[in-house]
Amino acid sequence: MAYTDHSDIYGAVHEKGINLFVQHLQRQRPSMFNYGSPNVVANPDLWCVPIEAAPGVTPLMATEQPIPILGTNGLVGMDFCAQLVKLEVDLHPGGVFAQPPELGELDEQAFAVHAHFCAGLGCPTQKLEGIDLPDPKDRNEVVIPTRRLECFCLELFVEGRVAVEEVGGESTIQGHLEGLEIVDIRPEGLENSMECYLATLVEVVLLPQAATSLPTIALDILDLATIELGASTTVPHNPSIHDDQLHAYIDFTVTGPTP
Amino acid sequence: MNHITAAASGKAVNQLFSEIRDNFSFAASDADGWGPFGAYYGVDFHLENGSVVLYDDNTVQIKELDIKWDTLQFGVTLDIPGFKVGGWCILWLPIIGCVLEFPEINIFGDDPDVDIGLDLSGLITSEISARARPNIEYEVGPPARWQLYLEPITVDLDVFDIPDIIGDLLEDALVDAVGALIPDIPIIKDLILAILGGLVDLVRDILDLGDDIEEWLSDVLGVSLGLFDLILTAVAQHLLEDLPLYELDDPFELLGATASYGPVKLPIADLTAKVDSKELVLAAEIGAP
Repeated sequence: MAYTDHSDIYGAVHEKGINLFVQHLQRQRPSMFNYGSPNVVANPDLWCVPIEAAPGVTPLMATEQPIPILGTNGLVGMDFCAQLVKLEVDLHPGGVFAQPPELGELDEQAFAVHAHFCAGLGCPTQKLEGIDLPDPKDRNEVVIPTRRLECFCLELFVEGRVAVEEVGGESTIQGHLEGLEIVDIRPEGLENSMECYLATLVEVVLLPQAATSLPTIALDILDLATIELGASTTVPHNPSIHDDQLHAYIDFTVTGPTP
Repeated sequence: MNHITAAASGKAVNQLFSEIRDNFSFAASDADGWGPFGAYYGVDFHLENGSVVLYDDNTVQIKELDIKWDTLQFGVTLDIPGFKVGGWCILWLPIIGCVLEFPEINIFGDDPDVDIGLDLSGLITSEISARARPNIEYEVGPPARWQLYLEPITVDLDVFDIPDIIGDLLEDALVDAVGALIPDIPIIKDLILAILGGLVDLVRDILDLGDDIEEWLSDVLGVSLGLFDLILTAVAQHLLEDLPLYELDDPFELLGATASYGPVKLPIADLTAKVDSKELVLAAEIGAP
């Protein structure tokens, strides 16, 4: 059976290739995986996990506002960091990592993501009565001093599917979240709330950023200037996840002079 | 299992071929001489038609690719060895000496004596076919890149379909031109032609034409001037050797640069290509961080 039995152009990427890409991305764009308040960004000793980056790459961590203390109108904050230490993708039938029981076996046409996530909060290193809280009229923000972050790590699992959708007039491979599980968090309400927050983050931020234009992929493969590309409709699933690979089937029509 | 696999069907390969073909053009000129005659040409051509057929033995065939001669101008020159006719005494009288002398005429004294150019632009079509296999090479650069070429196995040029009329035109032009060099004095011209054995035979003898002027013309252009080799080389090198069908930068830029960061690049550890009767398949391996 030929790769192009059902389309003019075929492209596939193996889960090993995707995970190598993630590793390169972590080293070349570490700020996509590491976030912290300004004090934390400036002081690597406060980081929960050291960051391994390619030589010369800066910044290693994206800067975010300190976490505000409730009741201070945002004028007092605490240092924090959030680090996605490890991210790996598993395509059906799986085998890169074991899914948690809550998500069950990896479904056909599904992908899974495992993330090792660490975060920490900069707890006060002196008694708070020694800190001059700012007058709300001054609008000067204060960050509670800290010498060390209280860090914790979580194992996060995600299951999802991919589909070709029209975005901005182009056929685009878009991921969709179907399940998310944080391992060993109690009580259940806290776990559910965190999962809800992270699921929203994945749906709203991460998956749209990972959406990839099919024409861009195909034109990178074959530099054809006079054709118009579209997803093949002669296969039951396009893109299709099977055999540990993400497969895309693309047809083209000639828009320039005919051969 | 390969990290990245891409395949192009026969239809996609033919589309790729047509885009390369349509962006091809070639121009050349040359001149040389051999003994009494010389030849020169000026050509430029583009490519039309043709197709690519894929085979299970990891080869592709480029079939019936037409070479359309936008310019095909060539000429032949003749530098016939000169000789003198006349100068001898027709009537000699004792004591007085020669009273009537046959005038001395210098025949074929110019260099060259004849220069005939023919413009066959748009009249002739040639056809090229080639068998090749995919070949991956790594260009160290900068920039470093993997390149897919078609390595020629055989290249055939179905040279020139030279119409009979072209041969006749050339022969007539040569005969007329040589005839014009001989003084048009009836007795003298007849005498010279009697000596030379006739204009047609003269031209054929000088050029060693034999019976087929079209064959001669093809031989001159193809063998002596090497025009056909030039075409074969140009087309084969451009389509098969110089112009990669596909290039993949190493490292390959996957995400563009931002204000803070350079582009995200993936090292490509290996790239392979193979062909069967249905498709061209490229497979790449991503290097470790």
